[in-house]
Amino acid sequence: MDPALLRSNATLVTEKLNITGIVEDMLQLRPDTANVAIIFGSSQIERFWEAELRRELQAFAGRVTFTWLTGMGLSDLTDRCSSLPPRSFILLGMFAVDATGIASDYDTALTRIRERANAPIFGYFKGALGKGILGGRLYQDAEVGVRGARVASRILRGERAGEIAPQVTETAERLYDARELQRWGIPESVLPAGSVVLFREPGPWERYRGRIVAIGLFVIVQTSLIVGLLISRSARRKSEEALRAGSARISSAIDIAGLGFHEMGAARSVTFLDDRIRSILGIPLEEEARGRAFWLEHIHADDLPEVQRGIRQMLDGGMDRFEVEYRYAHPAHGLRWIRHLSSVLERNAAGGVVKLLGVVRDVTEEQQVKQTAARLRDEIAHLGRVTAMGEMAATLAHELNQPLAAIMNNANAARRMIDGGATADPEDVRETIGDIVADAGRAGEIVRRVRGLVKRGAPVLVPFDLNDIVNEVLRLVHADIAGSGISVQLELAPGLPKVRSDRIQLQQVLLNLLVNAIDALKLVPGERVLTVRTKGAPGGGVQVIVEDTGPGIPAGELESVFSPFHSTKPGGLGMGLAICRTILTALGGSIRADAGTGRGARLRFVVPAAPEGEL
Amino acid sequence: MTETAPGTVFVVDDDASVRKSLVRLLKSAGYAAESFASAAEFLHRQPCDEPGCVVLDVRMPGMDGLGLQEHLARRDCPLPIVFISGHGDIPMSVRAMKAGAVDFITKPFRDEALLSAVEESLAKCREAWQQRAEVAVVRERLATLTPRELQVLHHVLRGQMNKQIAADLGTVEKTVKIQRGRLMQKMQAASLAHLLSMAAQAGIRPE
Repeated sequence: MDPALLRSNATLVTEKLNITGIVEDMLQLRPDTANVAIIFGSSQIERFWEAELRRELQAFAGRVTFTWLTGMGLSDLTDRCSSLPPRSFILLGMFAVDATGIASDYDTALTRIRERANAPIFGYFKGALGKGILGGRLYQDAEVGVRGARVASRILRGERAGEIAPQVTETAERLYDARELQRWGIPESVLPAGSVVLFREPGPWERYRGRIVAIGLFVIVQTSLIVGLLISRSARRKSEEALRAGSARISSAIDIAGLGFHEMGAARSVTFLDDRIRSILGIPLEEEARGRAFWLEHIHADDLPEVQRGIRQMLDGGMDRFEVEYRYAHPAHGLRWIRHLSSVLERNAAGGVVKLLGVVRDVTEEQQVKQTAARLRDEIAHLGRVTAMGEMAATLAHELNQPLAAIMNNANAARRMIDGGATADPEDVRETIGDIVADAGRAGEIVRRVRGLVKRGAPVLVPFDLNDIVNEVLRLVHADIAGSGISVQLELAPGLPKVRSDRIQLQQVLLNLLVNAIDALKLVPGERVLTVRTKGAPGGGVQVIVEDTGPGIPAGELESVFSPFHSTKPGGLGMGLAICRTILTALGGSIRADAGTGRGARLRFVVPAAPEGEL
Repeated sequence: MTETAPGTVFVVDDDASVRKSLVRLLKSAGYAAESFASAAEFLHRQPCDEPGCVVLDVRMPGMDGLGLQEHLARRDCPLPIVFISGHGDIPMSVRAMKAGAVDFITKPFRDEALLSAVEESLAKCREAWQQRAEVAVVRERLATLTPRELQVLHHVLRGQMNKQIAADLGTVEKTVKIQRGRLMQKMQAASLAHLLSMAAQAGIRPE
């Protein structure tokens, strides 16, 4: 339609309908398309369009046959549409009035035709998409309507229609219905470029969402139930295993600890003896009935009263716990040390023991270790005295020298007096001799003080690992450390050269330093750290560093602490560090104190390494 | 009694009985002896102005023997020192001997050891006193020289001939000869060698 034909008081709003394009699209969808059935109703406008199409579609003469289903009733129409030849398309143009003059509407016609049609239906109104047409270059009826209404409103507001520019747009959109494409087996891939496919079939998820969710939930619930049951079964099995393992562990722990049990009921009857207690106390099977009497008979006579007192206090005195160590004459193994711990588990209303459990352990070896440690300590203490003497010897020698010198001078003077003959005053000689006697007495007094202090011999030099000494001495002071909240940091360098020195004297030195450090630490509240380090010394020896977090040594006293009789401890002799220095000097080593890294004192001593050949 | 050198033996020892016995021994050997219980007590006595020697204990409370030795040396005290010690401490004795001690005797000692050390000390002291006296004489004589004669003396000590001295002093040889003769006379020098030894004694070195 040519807009120029419009009158001056008219304007135009429309979309250009590309009729040949419709058929071209059909051919693209199905290149073998042979026939197109075109439906139109019987109204005037329909006839107009029928004429338009007949004219325009001349272009396809010879390629496609056109079947004009016009001027028919709806039922005839649907009949015809159900029996179209193969390779057909239907173009539903308009169907406003049927052949009988009855008005119809497009949607009803479309529905009815589609129900029976054996070929896909092309339409040319966008409004029909989704209602049964396959698709096509669709006239955007709604959009054109809106545009038209806008123009109409402008005219109504007084604009002259002729002054409003005609709006003719191309039918741009090629729209297709996915469901119809699928129905007719037309793949989307053959659609003309730029085609938009609407109404895609929902997938199974969209279609069955509810059911899928329900089934899914059911499966999950059931699976959880099964898994839960499995877990609870395995947990039960595990807890049973843990119980078994726990009980096995307790039993191994008891094995390792070497504990034996006995249980006693009312009336002092032994109700249970385990195998180990029988072996620890050496109770033969035939004696089991009188186990208690047997046991008491074998306790060392010196320790028996204490054991019996404990028993009495438990049975009659209301004491619930009793621990005792006693010597025991084991029938097979001789004298053993037994640690015995008893505990009352149940008493009757009158306070009588109903159930008592006892645990025994053979602690003979521990006792031996204790005794060895005590003996070692004694030895070291003795050595302390010996080396203290070494330090004191110098002082004593000086002291002894004084009366001796005086005696000698006086004796010589007396001789000279006598040699002088008559000039000598006898009173002078007498006084001189008196002084000699007095000084001799003084010397004797000094000698008496020295006597008995020194018994042992010279140092024994052997090569050994200084780290061993550190460990040995730490064992000796273990008891002091354990009860005093001191934490020990041990940093022993591995692979140190061996030293050649006197083992016992070095133990003495280290013991002295550790005891000093422990005493110092006991003076401070809060954190108490004792650090013992060994490492190589610059000169090739080995050094031991003992550091504490105690009150420390004043900067001015770092050297004087090594002087004899310098002490900061109440009741201290002030000989400890002096002895240490004497020992180390004699052994070719050295000792010094320094300010340390933090608070507290730091003492380090160096011991020469053993010459290579002696290892 | 043996013949003893003049001078007092000062005994310094903190041990009363040793002190007493030393004085007794020294007196029995004919020496004049005084004793002091400490270095301070000894210094208070101002002993340096008379001949004598010191018998000194190394180990004493307060100033010890070595300290006193150092103190006396600083004061230019001529008293020779004999150390007595309860310790045979080698480094200590080396130090003492290096600082000029006559002997370092370890207690207890034979009387001869002490007495010979004391005798040697007093001889040394005597020598020192004599030397002191000689120096005093030389100094006296030097004091009589005119400034010109002193100038000539210095040139002579340098070994210069009269001619050279005259040239240096801007005079004639004859004048120098006269001044030199007067110098020898005033110094009572028998020879050039005598003059040189006196100058050395007085501590005069050629400039």
